[in-house]
Amino acid sequence: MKENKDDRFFVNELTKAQAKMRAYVAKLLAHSSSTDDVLQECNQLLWVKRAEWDPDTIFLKWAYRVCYFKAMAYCRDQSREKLVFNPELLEMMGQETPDEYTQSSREIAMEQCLAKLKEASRELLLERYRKNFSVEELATREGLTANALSQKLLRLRYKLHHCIQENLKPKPAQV
Amino acid sequence: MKPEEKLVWKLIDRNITPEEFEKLQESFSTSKELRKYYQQCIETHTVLSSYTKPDLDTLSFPKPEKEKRTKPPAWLGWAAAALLFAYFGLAPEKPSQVKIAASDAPDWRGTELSLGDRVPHHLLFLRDGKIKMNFPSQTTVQVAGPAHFQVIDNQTLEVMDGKIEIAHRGKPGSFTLLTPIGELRDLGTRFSVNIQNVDKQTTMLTEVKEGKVEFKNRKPAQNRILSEGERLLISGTHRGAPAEFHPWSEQEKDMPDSKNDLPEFDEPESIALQTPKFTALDVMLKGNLKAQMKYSMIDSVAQAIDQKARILVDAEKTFSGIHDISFAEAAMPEIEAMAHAIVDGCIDFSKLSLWSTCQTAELSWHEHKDNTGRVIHRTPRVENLKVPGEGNRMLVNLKQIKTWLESVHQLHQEKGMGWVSSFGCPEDGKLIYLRRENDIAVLTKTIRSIQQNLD
Repeated sequence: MKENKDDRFFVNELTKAQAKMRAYVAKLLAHSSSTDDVLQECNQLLWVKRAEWDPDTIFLKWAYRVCYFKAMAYCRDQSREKLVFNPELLEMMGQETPDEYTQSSREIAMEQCLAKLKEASRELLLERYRKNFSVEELATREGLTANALSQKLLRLRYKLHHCIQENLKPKPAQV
Repeated sequence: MKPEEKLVWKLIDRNITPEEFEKLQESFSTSKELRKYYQQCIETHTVLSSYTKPDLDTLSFPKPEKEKRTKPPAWLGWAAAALLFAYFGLAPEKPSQVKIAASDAPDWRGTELSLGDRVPHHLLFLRDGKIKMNFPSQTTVQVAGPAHFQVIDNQTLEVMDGKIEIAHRGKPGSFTLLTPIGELRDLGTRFSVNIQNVDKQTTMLTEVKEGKVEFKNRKPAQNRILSEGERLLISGTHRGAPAEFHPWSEQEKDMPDSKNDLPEFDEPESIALQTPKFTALDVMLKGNLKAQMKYSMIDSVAQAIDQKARILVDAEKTFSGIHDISFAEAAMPEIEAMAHAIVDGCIDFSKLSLWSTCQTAELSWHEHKDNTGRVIHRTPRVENLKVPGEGNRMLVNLKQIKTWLESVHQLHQEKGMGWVSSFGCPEDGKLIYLRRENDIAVLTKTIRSIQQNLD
């Protein structure tokens, strides 16, 4: 397929929307490991239907609708999956789209919040996310039980998330 | 931490039992706040996961080697393209030194930029209006929409289409304009370009106002210098294809565009601020596609009714009651047909909102001034009207139809039931009377419903 300026513009919009679309799909699929597969299907469908998108309208709104129907189809076909939201809740969640903050603004907020954590806590949290060590290995290293470490990580993440949300709020203008 | 919030994190970790999941589902069903919290947690989790991934962003984009390339399956091409685009889209950009120096009612699609903003290094679409960018190479570029363009670096601008005016005061050769058919290198000058693409063909109207400009593409034989006062229509299909050069003048009628349509270049402060052509309704419905579509349908219906109603309004103005016949009596069939079409038609008018049937708000402009008191930017504001205006005249016409219908009904009462029957039969007349009475009641209820629907 030849690339023209409209395609480039479309790809630009699609690319920008990836993080928000992924968060939206992950929410509907109860953070299933199939999130990326469904997201990829959404991307394919959006690409196929790109001619239907009116550049005068907001791309994300259109993309969310496509993601919603793809997520619905996925949930309908997953009879063996235990963690699937019921259709009523799925519809309710489908109508609630993510906030307007971009991934980069969330990253900036997170970096500021990570800097506020104690170094040991920060390293522990990041190591867990790097998945270099299992919870058991980290617990042994920290001299904690696996359960205690999980609780500690949970509290750290909760604190970090709260800080990020506070940082994202618009600040009142300084006089 | 609330127990439900703890369950949210357990769900994100997929470390939740089916019983806990059921409990969380119930909580989600009743708490919008919890659902919002869940959404935000997923985003935090995503950012945290990507933050700790190996730093791939510093890898450079490998250039394709034509000799070694083999034809991949179609699906692989798409997947690779998507990954590459995603990679570039998410990769952090080097801070741009190019800034928006002035703007005139810019209508952006996608990324929106305001006065003083740094221009990012990705494709931008200016649908309408004008903007002016200052490059650190002492180059000022004015772009008039519709235009697709991209600031490649602090010395290079790529333009897919649009009208561009460039003034370069820096070192000769330090600014380049990339176009679909070649590049124009500024040799210390002022020049304008109007790029248009039709099918595979790109045409570029170039006018050098001062100094010199060098045109280059991959065919060295095509390189040429355009001198002051020279106007050239350059056309071609891509940067590697031979380009054709034709002189042109303002008088030529067959040119795709004339010089007069190009944005005149002035100093940045002289961009005239004009009031954009949109209404309060456009601002009210901005971003709400569903409401926009709904309103466009309502507006079409309003126009259709207004067209018919105006015929009667004009007729009533010129009507001279011959033989003591009133206008209501003379136009009775038309009035009743119109009323009946509204009451018994395919549209339930009582569901319409007040704002969609008349003008409930107007646009006002908040002016932003610089240190010298010059207006540099205007922000639209919607202010509600104390007394609604006619707007699309839907409500006005419904009221008018009701008034006419009531006049006919009054006349019917005065003249007796047999009045409207072809045979003077009171029973026939009574049926018509009752149907009209019903129409009046429905119209009254519809108007009241619209007036109370203030969403």
